[in-house]
Amino acid sequence: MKGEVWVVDEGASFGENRVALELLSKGRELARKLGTRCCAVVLGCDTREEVMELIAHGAEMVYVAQGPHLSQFRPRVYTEVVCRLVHEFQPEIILLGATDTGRELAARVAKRLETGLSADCLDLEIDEETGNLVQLAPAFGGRLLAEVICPERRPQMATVRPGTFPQLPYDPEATAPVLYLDAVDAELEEGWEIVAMEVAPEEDRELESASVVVSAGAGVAEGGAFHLVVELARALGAQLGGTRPLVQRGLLPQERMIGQTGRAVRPKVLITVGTSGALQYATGIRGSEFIIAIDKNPTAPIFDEADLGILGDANDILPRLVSAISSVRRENDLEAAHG
Amino acid sequence: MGELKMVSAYHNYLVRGRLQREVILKSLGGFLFHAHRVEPMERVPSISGRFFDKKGELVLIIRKNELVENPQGLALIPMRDGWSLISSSMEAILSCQVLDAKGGLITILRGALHDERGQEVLKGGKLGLEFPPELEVSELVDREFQSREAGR
Repeated sequence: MKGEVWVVDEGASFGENRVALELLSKGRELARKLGTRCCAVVLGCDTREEVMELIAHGAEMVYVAQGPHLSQFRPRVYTEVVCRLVHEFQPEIILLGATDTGRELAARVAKRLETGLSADCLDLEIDEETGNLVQLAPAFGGRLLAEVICPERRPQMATVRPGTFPQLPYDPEATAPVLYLDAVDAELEEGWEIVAMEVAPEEDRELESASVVVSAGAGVAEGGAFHLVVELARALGAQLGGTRPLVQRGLLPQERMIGQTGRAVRPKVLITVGTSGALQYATGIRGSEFIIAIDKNPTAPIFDEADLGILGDANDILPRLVSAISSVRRENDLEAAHG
Repeated sequence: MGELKMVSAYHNYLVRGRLQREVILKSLGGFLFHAHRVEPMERVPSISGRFFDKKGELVLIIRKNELVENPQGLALIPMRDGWSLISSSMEAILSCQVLDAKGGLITILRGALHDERGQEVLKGGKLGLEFPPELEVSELVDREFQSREAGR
């Protein structure tokens, strides 16, 4: 069927494809408005479980390209396969996860097809008058949110970060046609090969799943209060993250950067200290249930994001906060010790 | 361009390394093999069919795992992850293993079956079932096939 909405599950070989499941839910919504269907595209070596999972979460058709040469992400081969599929079936919209592989694949496919691509979209809609995909995406370094359309070229392409859309519930009764594509030749040479893949250390992955996060911004680094933020995180048993300037100064590793190009956190409580609240940072914290912002600038945009704002110098506030938390902890420990 | 299969979110058979929710094979001379759809809440699949031995003599007529005609005394033995169809000499003619997938199940059938001429027409292994494509009845005529089978 021409004009379909496609979700490319580029991560089938790597075990995690949650973002593809999330994209299926948005993809179905878009497909309904266009009067078409939402399909998944799977590339990999053994795709059995991914195919069933994608159908259970809303794929109305699945295109499968499988073979040993697709067992790991090879950009040129994957690009070739997706482009051939696009030429054959002419989808209207292609969505990919804004993962490392998704970003690379999307950019290569868009270039080859000479079409537009919006990266890290925060929402997607169909313009009812034109039928164009309206892509809400950060622009100008994240200072603006732009509505991007691609009116002249097809397919319309977008990447979306994991966690942006909820996935549809698992439906065991779902069925869908699956087109197993004939083998695609693997003659394309990459010029390099992946010799090993390692899962990041546990502590580097804890930030996104932590229930309490303390985050530091440039204001902390400039004011010399970084050690106080570390103490606060320690007192709370919280995970520590921060903004790009702290990473650039070498105070935090890249894996701890929160924001549009870093991690998106969703803790129950986020304490953010000395962060102005620039859009590229704010998009990474909006999934937090309760945000406490500490900053000395009363007009800082971070206070618009916060549920509770504390106006003042981190050097004054943090020692008092750490002391109060420590004393409450001591009292709780004593109570526990005495039954 | 490729091969189109109907696939279930819950349960599928493995056929040449690919998934499909139901398998129906039929020859003009009477061989029949039907691996039925498995619905949610069920786990172990059932089969129907008419199978022959290497000499082309009838071995078994089975309907949804019930042995209807069984001239050679086969037995369907429940196993931990499925079942096995065993001959009187304790040889496994066909065995069914159900594996857990993400939220669903995948069944792998192993063994070999012969048609009315004694030719091996179906065999199963690690990559699932293999058979000559001309034997397969597409799901498009599935309902017609099933109603004819019910009337036999």
